[in-house]
Amino acid sequence: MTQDIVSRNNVIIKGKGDKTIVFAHGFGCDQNMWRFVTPAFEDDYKIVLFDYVGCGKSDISAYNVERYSNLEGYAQDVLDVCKALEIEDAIFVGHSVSAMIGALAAIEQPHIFSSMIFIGPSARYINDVDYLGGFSQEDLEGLLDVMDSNYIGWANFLAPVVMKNDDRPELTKELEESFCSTDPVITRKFAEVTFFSDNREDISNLQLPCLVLQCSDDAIAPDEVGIYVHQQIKGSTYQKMEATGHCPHMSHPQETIELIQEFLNQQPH
Amino acid sequence: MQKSVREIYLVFKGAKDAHVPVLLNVEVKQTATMTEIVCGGMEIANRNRFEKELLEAKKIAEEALNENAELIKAKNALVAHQKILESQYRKVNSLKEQQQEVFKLIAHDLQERKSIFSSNYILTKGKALPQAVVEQLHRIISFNSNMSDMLLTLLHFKELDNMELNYTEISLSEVINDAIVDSQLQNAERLVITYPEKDLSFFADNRLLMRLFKELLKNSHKERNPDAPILKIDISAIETVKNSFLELSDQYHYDKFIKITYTDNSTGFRTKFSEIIEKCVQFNKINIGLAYCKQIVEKHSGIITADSTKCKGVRYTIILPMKQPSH
Repeated sequence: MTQDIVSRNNVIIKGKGDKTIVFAHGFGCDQNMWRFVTPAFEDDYKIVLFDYVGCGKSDISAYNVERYSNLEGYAQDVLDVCKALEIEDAIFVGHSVSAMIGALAAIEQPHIFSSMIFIGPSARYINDVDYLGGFSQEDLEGLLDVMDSNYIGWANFLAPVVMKNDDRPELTKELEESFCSTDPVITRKFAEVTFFSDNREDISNLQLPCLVLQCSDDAIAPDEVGIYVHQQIKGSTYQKMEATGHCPHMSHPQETIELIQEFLNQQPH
Repeated sequence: MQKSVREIYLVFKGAKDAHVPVLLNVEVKQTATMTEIVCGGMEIANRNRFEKELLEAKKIAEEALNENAELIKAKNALVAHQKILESQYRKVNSLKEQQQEVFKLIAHDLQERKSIFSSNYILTKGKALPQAVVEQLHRIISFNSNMSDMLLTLLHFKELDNMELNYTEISLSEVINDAIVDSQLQNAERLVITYPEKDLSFFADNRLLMRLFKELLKNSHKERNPDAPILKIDISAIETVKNSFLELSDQYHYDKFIKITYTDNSTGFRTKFSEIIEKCVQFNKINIGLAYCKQIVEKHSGIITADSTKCKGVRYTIILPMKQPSH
């Protein structure tokens, strides 16, 4: 079982601390995206990296359309990895959609995590009455239509929007390549599950210390969304970053590291 | 032809020099006065085609026959299994009926015996008895009272087998409150019960849900930690989305569930739902509370799990569908 999950989710363990940090990548990415951040924690923490099934170097044959038709299926991946590695009281760091995936996992098995760090979280991407998610229903349906008709074109369009930081084209290129290197059918389904998710009710059930890192000028998760997530999670800490775009762990790793360390230093462990 | 030729091969030449090869089958009929030769035939090309079609049809028929033989074999095996199942079903039913009769008998018999011993008996007739005997009688009465409770639960436990659930929309806070009142714990000293902050409504059998909480409360009360000055019970609930295939792996269908978490600071010993007989120093105490809880939850297509820390308490997690399952 343990070996099955480790190989299914391409689990990589690094670091030499007692306390564990689980890093969970966002939509269209893989664990490699954490490479600028994780070295700063390797001396003090055990680092667990993994790829969701259907992403990165995971075992694509384990992909089950029904299971991954809901973020709960991805949350089960997190729980499976933690169970296989007998992880308890860990710190969860989730980027983008992984913030909500981590929240679902923590609500399901509260003892697994002691604190949560959300980078660019969104409880819902589509605008609603009294809620600004950043996108209209038509926007996202249009995005999925483009994915269906012109997959490469979609990646070319979305990567610069997500990454921003035009002065560093190599990052945009990396993200674009990451979008394109994954299975188009799985990525299309993951996009649908991600962009049409609504976890506004769920996050109010999260009862763990939580840091919300909100980027500046984030086209995927605007300020209002980050503030909403912070307000819904009792006792959470909100930090507005200097970093722009939606991937501060890639574009502004130093600021990301410092804010995470500052939060972890305030925790009782 | 000397009656030995069976086939004649002929080539007819047409008006436009077309050659048509024909194979004739020959039948010789001998009458008293003459020999009659009857020939029937068809164009060679057609004959070949028909022969091929015949061979193919023969092959298909043979395969169908084989398949049919296998189907018949499988059918016979199924019928044999059905007979075995029928026989086992009868045995199970018979055992179930016998078991129910035994339960009724035990319940009735023990209820009768219990009525003999009562506080009134000691009050009215036991005045002259020595103190030691009175104390023993009190112990017997206490045991009888526990036994009575257990029998009632046992009967409810058995009733559940054939019970049709009466699904109605219920309020979790109300059902917990009813269970507390019914357990006469609303004014209990050294007991603090915390309700869910947000009241959730869901569909379930109200009566059974109340019994579920009664059993959990009873269990917490029975197993209270003598070192803890106050028995604390905390009940919280959230609405969640879960895979409705709770037992089968690799089967997924997401539905809304209510997840109820019940924690207490009891001794944390009893968490096994299958355990009915509890070993004690003096005698075996029968406690079916948790087994009954499990049965109630499973009857609602839900699951209940428990984990405990010795001397710190028990946490029960109950997951129930928000709506009546369609099956």
